[in-house]
Amino acid sequence: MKKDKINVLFVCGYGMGSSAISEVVVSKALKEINISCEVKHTALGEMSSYYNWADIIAISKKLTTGISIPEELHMIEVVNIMDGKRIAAQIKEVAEVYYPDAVGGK
Amino acid sequence: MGVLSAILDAIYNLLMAPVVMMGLLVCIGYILGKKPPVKVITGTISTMVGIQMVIFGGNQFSNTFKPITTAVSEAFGITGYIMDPYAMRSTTTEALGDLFGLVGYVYLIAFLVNIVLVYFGKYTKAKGVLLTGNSGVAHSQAILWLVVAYLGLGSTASMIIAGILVGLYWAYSTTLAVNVCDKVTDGGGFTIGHNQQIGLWFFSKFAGKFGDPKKSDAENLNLPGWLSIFNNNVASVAILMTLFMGLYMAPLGISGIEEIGGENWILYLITLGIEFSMDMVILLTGVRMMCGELVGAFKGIQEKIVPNAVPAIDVAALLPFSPNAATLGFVFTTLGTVLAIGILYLIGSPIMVLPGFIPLFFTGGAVGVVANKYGGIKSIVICCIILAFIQTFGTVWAISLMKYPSGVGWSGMFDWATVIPGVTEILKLIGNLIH
Repeated sequence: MKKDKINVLFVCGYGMGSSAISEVVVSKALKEINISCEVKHTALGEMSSYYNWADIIAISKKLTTGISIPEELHMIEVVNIMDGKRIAAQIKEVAEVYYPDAVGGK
Repeated sequence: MGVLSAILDAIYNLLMAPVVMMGLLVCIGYILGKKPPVKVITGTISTMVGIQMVIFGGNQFSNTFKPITTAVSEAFGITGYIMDPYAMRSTTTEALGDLFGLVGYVYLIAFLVNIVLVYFGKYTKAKGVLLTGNSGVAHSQAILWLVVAYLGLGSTASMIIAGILVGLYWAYSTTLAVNVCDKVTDGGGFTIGHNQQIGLWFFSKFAGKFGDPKKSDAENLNLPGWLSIFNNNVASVAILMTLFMGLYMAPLGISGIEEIGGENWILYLITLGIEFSMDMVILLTGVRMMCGELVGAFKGIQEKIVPNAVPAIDVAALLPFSPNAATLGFVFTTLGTVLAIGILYLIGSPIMVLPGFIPLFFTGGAVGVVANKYGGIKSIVICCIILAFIQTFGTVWAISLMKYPSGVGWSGMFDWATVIPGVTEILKLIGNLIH
């Protein structure tokens, strides 16, 4: 299936603080490197309700132990949530392989 | 004339209703931000639904908790309060009543004060700008309530004073935490603007005295995997509330618990935990809808006016830099809090506190990360037990000052158990002087 827009979900402990700010800085960085995407944020405990929507899940490294996500989704571990450029580059790596139509912008 | 004044009266009442008042503020924000009309309408309505949900969730929290505290208080003369920022949100939403509509304005004044202080940072030494919208709203409503309760001034004056106080707290508490955040994140470029940033600074001053971080780094440990259950907010609130409510109600005995619950005590305690977790999810969803676009908007303003400011964000940002230390911090803060509660029982304190999840995880975890960076594992243990005692006893102090005894509780976070009750004592003094 062609997909020219990827959906990125940011996940943190409560889904309002660090995931929200990360969403802001990363979307800015993604725009700069021409990746078209939609972004949302939520809490770990409510993450499963977004499985149908999300393509990539960006999640704090503190929270990655013991979680499993559906096979078709891709997970990115985040250490510095304010490092928009680095997280955007991580997203780009995944996008180039799985969602090439979303890279480059049109 | 009668009809006209009735209409004017109705309009006035409508405008003063908290939901409409805050909705209008957001609507104006969108219009000023030149958003398309569809966005203005959908965004404003979403915010209003969010506010209504926060009010509803707060009441729901009260309804779950109140029958229990009443029973325990009638039997033993001890009143229980929850120490958690969401309990404080619920208490102050209820206490403010119609004045709740002013909270948005307090927030704006506070943000303005924060930005101005950082703009003139050369003279004021302020560096941090608070971007954590969800916490910012909670701060604004709590301080507004304390100002109203102690100074007894009109709504405009209360709003301005509260805004200035909150803005000062944001500018200076976040600036205090700049160095410790830099050290923990190896120059990550942010500071913490949440509820415990003064605490992070405080612990960084002596956490290095208890050990060598190079020899006993918590990140070299292999922690048992089941601890990751507590990463899940929905599950951990349910588990912890079942446990702590069980402990709190234990003096009533099994028959006493079954009398309140009307069913088997084990089943009742489990249901109670699940109910608390549901209340929390309602509140979270409401706050998310209410603050959804706040972060982006304020980040934009900060970048335009004070591009060199240090963004002050949610404390969760520190935890991935040292996941093991955060988990250990949570564990030892929880143990320390149980000890501190035991002491409250022993000395016969008329106020009993029940820790929510947030003070244990988000202050305990962050202090764990800081302590590990400066002094290793032993430092985590010592600092977190000290933290637990400060937060527990400090929250009892803060609750004695919250001027709304029927509220469900107060924030148990470090700053709100130390500096804020200190400021409240000053407000109380001034209030006594001017009345």
